Amino acid sequence: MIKLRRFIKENPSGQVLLATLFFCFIFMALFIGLYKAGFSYIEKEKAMRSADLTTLSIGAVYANGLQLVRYTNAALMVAAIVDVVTIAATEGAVDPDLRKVVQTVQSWVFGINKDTNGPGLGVYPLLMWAEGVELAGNNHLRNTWPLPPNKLQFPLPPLPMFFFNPETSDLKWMLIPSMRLKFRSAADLLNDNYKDEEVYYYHTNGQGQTLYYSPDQTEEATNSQHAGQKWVKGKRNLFLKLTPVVTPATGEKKGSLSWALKNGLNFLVNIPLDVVHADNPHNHTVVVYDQLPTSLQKINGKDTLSYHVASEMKLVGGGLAAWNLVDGDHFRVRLISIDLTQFPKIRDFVSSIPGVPSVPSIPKVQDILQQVLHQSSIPGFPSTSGTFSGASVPGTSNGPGFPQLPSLPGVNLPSLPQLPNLPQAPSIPGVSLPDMSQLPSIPGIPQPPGLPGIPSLSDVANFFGINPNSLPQVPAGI
Amino acid sequence: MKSIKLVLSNNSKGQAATELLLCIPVLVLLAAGMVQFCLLFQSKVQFEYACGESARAYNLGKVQPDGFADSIWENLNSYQSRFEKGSIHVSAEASQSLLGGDAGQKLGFIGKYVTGSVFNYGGQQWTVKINCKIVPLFGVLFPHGVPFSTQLAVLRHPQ
Repeated sequence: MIKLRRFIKENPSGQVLLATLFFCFIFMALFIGLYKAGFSYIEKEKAMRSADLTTLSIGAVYANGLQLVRYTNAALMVAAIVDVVTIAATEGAVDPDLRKVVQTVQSWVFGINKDTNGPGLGVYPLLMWAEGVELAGNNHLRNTWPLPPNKLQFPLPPLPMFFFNPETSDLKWMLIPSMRLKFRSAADLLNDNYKDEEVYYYHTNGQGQTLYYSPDQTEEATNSQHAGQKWVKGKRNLFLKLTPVVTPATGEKKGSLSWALKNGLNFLVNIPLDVVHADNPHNHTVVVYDQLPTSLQKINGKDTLSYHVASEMKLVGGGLAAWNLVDGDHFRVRLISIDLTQFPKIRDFVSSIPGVPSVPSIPKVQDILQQVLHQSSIPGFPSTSGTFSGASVPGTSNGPGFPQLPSLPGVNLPSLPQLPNLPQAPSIPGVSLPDMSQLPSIPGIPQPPGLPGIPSLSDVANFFGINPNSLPQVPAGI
Repeated sequence: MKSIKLVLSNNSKGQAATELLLCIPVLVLLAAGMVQFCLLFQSKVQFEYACGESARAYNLGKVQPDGFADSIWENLNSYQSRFEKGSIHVSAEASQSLLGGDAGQKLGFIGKYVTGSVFNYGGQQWTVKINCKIVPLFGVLFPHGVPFSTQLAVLRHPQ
């Protein structure tokens, strides 16, 4: 090194070469930066495109589902006609009640809880989800699902996160596939909402929620920036961007619900008719939130950098009544711009995730999935944390857990043979065991800590809005 | 070699200019390489964008499967001069939809009817290849143009 320095000092011939080398180094640094930036830009374009195409594909399946709703409503109409004709022919002696069969099929297929007339589990929404997963795989969107605590390795398909109708659904039904449908009651035919009227709604940039107001709930905004801008009464401090929406008349009988209720027609509320949009004006949207791995940074041969992308679509179309089959167009898919951090429900949910310090930073998909799977902060979500615990598993939040045994490569433990069912002990007449949970506590002996429960079948049923008593009973011996 | 060393050590007239002359081609080559890489990335981004737009048009029903290559070419817009139209190669296959599209074809007439009327959605999965011919330096390595390739898939309703 000293020799080299002396050579450079004494021989000016090396100076230009050295300067050239220095410039080459700068060029190389610039070149690598350029390559990374260019590659990154391409990957970003691909990520956005993949998310958009996946969203559009779910929109196509969703639109087909709404068209199926029209078909089933037509079938319901036919069933109702058959019922009426039969009842008339038999002078009320026989009611085949085919309409109830069709409505039951509709509730199971399209995910409508008949008891609450709200969202429920349905076959078609699950198909939407499955098709979305399939298309995400075709478009190379990937997610790293958090591994279960026992670190079982099993192949998982690329599973994006879908938020269904986030503007109008609560958090639970954002995560579970749903279609925002309900049964129209006979009373709805008398409701003023079904008259031709002007409804105002706004979509604020800060809140991401769509709310609806009737004209009598609004007033002219004084000194407004835009002509015709309105305020919601009593909420002048909010920035509201009200847009008038004309709800067209659907041809139903016009009247007043309050008039009907006053005249003892409450029973109309309990008469379900056909399936309609749950929101008026209707709102059918899906958000895809996913990540596309890039090969910008690899560790152990795996891509560790990925783009987080969000895309949202909205379905545009008419009504779902049977007569819309004749004059109604197919539902069309529209991509709409989205900023996921603006959704308050997602934002609040994200803020509860440990390690995600601030909003509007977008969390990683793994963070959200981890929260969904292992935390119980979602209201109504059955807790899975600490399952099988006091003997909790290392890595979970409950208890110290068992020490982890080192795994032996190439050694697979055989599965234990299944024990035969033990015969039930014969009951002794006149002798009954006391309920252990009702025993009084013994002074001086501490009560064992409550064990976090494994979610029971009824918990899960309640979560999905299913009556636990309607579940099939598990036969003894299993 | 000895005489050159002697000349260089004893006579520094024009030495810097000679060295600069030797170095300039290298620097120019590097600078040109950077510019060409920029053009290449720009073309690739435009290609990906054109493919995405064509898929969106297919989703809307504005593009039929056999017109996908033409749609990509139109969406390249002002970048068309950087590509060879004849080099676009689109290999399309039915998208791996679970129930829509061709999923019911295997079940015969009933399957065709079900997928055609009940699950009236289907799609395509494309692998698109094209040659980018803008870059003379890369032309030495890729005489037919730099090959670009991408994959994408989308469903649409009605099929």
